[in-house]
Amino acid sequence: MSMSHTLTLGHRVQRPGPLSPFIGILPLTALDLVLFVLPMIVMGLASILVIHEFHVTPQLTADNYLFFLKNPLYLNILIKTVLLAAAVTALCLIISYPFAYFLTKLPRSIQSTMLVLVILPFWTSYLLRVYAWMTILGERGLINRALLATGLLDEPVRFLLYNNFSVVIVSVYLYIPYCTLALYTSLERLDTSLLAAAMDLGARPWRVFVHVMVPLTLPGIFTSFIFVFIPMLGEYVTPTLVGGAQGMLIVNVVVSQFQALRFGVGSAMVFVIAALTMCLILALRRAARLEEIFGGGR
Amino acid sequence: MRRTGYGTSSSGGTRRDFLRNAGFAGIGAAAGLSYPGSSGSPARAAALEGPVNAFTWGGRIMQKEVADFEQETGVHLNFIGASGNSENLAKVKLGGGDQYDIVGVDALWVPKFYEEGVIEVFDMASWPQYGDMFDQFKNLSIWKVGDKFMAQPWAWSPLVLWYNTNHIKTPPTSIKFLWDPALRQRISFTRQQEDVIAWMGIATGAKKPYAMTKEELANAKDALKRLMPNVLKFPPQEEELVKLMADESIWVTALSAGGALRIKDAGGPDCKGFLPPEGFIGYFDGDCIVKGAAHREAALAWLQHRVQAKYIIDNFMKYRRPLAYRGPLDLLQKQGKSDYAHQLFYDQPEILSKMVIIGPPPNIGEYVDAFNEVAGS
Repeated sequence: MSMSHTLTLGHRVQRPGPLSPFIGILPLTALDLVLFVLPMIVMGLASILVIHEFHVTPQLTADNYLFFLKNPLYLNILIKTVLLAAAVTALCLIISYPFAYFLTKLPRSIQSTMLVLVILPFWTSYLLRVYAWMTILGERGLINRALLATGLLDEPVRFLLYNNFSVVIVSVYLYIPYCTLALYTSLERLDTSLLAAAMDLGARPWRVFVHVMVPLTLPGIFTSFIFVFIPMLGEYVTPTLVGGAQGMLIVNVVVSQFQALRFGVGSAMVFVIAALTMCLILALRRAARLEEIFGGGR
Repeated sequence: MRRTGYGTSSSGGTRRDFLRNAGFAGIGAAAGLSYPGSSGSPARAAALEGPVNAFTWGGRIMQKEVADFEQETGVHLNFIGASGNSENLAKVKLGGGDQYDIVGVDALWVPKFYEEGVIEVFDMASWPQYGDMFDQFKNLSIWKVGDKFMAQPWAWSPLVLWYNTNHIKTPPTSIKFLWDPALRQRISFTRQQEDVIAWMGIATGAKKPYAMTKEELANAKDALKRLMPNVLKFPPQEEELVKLMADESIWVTALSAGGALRIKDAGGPDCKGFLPPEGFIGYFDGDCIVKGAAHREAALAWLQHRVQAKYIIDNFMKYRRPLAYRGPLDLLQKQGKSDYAHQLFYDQPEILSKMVIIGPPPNIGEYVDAFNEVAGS
């Protein structure tokens, strides 16, 4: 108290101007405008104009959207992508939640070490990590070699790589650190006395988990969803490297449209995916009443 | 995507490779001394403005020739890796001559680039190395406007169907062998939709595999559908095909001339090549001058510089597919390496006329849809 007095007396405190709060966010806003908003406007225009290869006709059309939305194949691929992203998100949550909880129960010093271990994979390249999995799951990979060496198999199994199974396994591995960190932050702040109180009142552990623990850690779950599900919708490299011949996801379709010089259709697809993502986030936000949780309620 | 992997394939580190490369480096040095046009940079006298921004395939540019060029002209060369013809076209269309001076383009895509107004013709007939070019390229009418060229010819090759002789004992006699149930999940092609569909067009007897009618496209799509059980995956780069062949995950793939050598270098098995009697895809490629290139003169100087026989020899030995110039072939023959040249089709430029040349289908969207409908279902 006395120190703040001294400071106030010693230095003339200048009041912040009315624009001060905005100056701080100016660089980020500028970056966002140039690298996100502007390209989105261009894509938005491309999606509603008549474009044949590189020739733009200033005429509005819905054909690009209709081409996508009326094509059952592309809609099926979109659904497949959403389901795959949902599966990866669910698996990440199922694996990360108990692990993050376990982390919060460790002594502080060990927690720090464990958290470093969680983010350790980020020290190597993303591509390298995917390739590492290819050497594990491949026909001549680590798993097959071990199974052959132990005599459990006579010949290597081939279902481990180049299919949806391998896409899910590798994606879960890649996204688990994000999920764990988000959940850890939430679980660390969890007031465990509330769990004890619920138990004291006769709730079984499962009930405590579902009705007390999960609602209280919803912000962490929601953040995990954002960190895993959304990037998974746009995942391109992993399905390309470890997916099979029929492992096409929606981003592969978008890329193929641009390669076919169908800029309008490709842009429309991007906007449909973006709209879908926004809708999902808003729906989830509403369902989970996140404003109350984040903002402390009314 | 096709060409990006070339750079790393044949740079294996075995002692044998080292000796072989050292031997051919000797040939290269000899070529530098004995061939016309190898006597120095054409740009030496003039002061050139750089840098040269070369947006081209990975198998184009080698360190030594770049270092020599920079030393002789004082012009720096920026290499920007190209990934695919349509993407290159889009990027050059957007970036233009301010951003790019040179762009690498495949066969029938070159006239497309010219029609789109992103490249300009230039005179090569006066260049010292012009005489070294195979006649097939000198007379390549689709790349010429009058006497001028839209692109400087560089490499060419048929795409050979390479098969693993450990698993495929009977040499194939028809492209139909791809549909053999014994090859379940043992085939891969790169993810170039129009090329995959063109292969299917060849198999189903389409007259012009890169310009199929709706009916021919439907047949090609049906053929791909029937082939899918045998396809392991469609990787984006050739380099992955080499890896898959080397670890025997797949037994059949389509690679350019030196495919078997690249597979062997990667520690793989013995492979044999097969050019189907029904037809086969092939490519030739070249580098174009971007319209309005900011460093046009320096870019032209670079194109002249890098076709010196000594560099072409090095390039051929590294990437193992024939080039558009005779120099290395004559030297290989003098060195008693005729078999090697023959194995890599270098002494058979007449194959060019038998290849189904890679190009943009006029209905490219329909090709992509056909591919997606099978691979995405």
